[in-house]
Amino acid sequence: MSPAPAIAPRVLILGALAVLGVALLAAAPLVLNNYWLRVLTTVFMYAIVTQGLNVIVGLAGYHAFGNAVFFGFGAYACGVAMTLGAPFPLALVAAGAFSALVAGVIGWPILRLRGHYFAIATVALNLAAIQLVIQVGGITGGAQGLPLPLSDLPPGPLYRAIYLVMLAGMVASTLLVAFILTRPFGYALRAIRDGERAAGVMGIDTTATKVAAWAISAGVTGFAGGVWAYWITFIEPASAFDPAIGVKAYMMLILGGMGTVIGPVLGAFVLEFLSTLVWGGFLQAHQIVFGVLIVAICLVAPNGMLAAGRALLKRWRSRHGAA
Amino acid sequence: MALLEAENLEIRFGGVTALAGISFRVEAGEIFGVIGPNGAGKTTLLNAISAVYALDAGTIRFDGADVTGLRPHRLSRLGIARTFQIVQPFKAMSVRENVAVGAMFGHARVRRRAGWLAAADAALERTGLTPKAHLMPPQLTLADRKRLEVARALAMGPRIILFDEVMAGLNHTEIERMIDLVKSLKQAGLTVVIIEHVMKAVLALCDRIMVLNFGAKLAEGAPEDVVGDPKVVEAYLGQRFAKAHASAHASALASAQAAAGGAP
Repeated sequence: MSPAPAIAPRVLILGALAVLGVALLAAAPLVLNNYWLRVLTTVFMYAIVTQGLNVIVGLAGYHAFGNAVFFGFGAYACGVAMTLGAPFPLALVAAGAFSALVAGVIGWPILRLRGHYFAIATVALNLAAIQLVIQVGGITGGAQGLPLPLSDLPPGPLYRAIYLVMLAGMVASTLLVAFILTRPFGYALRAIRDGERAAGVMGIDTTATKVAAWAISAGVTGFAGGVWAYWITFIEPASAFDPAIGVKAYMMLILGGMGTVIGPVLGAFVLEFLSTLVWGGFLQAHQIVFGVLIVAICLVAPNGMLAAGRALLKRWRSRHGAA
Repeated sequence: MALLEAENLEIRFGGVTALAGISFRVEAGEIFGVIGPNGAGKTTLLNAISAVYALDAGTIRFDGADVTGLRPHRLSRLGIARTFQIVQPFKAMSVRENVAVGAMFGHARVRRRAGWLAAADAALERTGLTPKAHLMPPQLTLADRKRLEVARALAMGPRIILFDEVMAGLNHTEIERMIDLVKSLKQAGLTVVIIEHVMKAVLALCDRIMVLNFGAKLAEGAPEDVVGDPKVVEAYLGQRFAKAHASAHASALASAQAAAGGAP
């Protein structure tokens, strides 16, 4: 009756592969040059942001086009905390917590609405945040930007440390999504995605569940923003709250597979490597080439690479099983 | 004792009064039927009770406590479960997971995986869906999707279940099976409210019936009395038929009396 025993060996193999992959990535800084170290750190960063987006968009089905606003809030929370003298780990906690708090406070009223209002509201929030930081000024540095205190570490070890922190964040956020999916909270999110009215009638507090999901999403995204701020050591409103970060994360989520555990990581790797390669190969026209590639991928695998891969595997099996 | 009491329920959609002050009581352990022509307000009534729609006026009491204005999930936790006429399965979850959600969040609130799976399997067994536990909802027939609605409501461990046309669209065999299922719920001590067009099911199941027409209560009582009520016949079949029905009824009565009178 239960399919669990049949799945277990496959899960074990996939788990072993994942552990091996993480171990290789963790050891990679020993051999990588600075360029590839930077590319991979960026991949991990986007994987975290995409995983954060996955919680609210992939699991709960609530589109949050402006979710990168929490990347900015995280960056600024980290920057301000460190300016006030907090050590980096504490500043990272502040980055996640502050972003989650903002999502909780704003989400409580706007997530009562169903449907597309929320998506629009997040975009407005993203744009408003830029103005907010500029107007507040003071400790945020306002329009002039905010330089973060420099690390005692020399650049080489520092970049390796940041690489490892981003890697840890990617692994942790992926495990978090996997964990959520096994809990009633995860079922509640999927129920809301598939039919919010039925979910409410079946006893799910839809508003509280959505707000919690958005706060988790924001916390994860804010963490990535915090690490990013320390990495580049100087932040300004337009780059920290760049809507392009959210757009890119969206593409990665769609590419990898919404609502899946590993899809966001896969999407981040493929898209970031692709964009790096295109950038190197087509110095003049990289945006056009990249755009065409994205459209092509969306046409071939509209439900993400994971779903497309599964379908291919199934077709291959049935063809060879029948023969 | 009345488990569910509704008083003067009123719901308006713009200028249309969908429910015009409806009051009724559902006793613990009974099967209470709600019938009426299309557009009479039956589903609106159910949506009002389960808080899917907000009331414009009126009060609802459940087990003696005022539950007016509580949000749907609060009602569900108190033990009110319902099905939807237009089935609303979670289409990206297996049948078994769909039902397990009911056990996780309904009145039962099972927090352990083994517990919610056991509750789901029990509800699937009861509704005859066990062989289809691992299918996805879009793979089910309509009858099975209706059964899935019932299984989800059962897994919530409710004290009262509101059925919104669970028989609609089913064939005769499927209707018989559904009637047996609802009967078994009553035997297990559950209170049931059913909205139904299939009169065979209503007559076979209900202890009492309320008839709605244009958002108002037209009649209430035992099934056989309500079905014979000329007002009800008129609401369903029109005035001309009602008159014909009444005169046929009267002449049948008269000839029966004449026959009885002429015998000795």
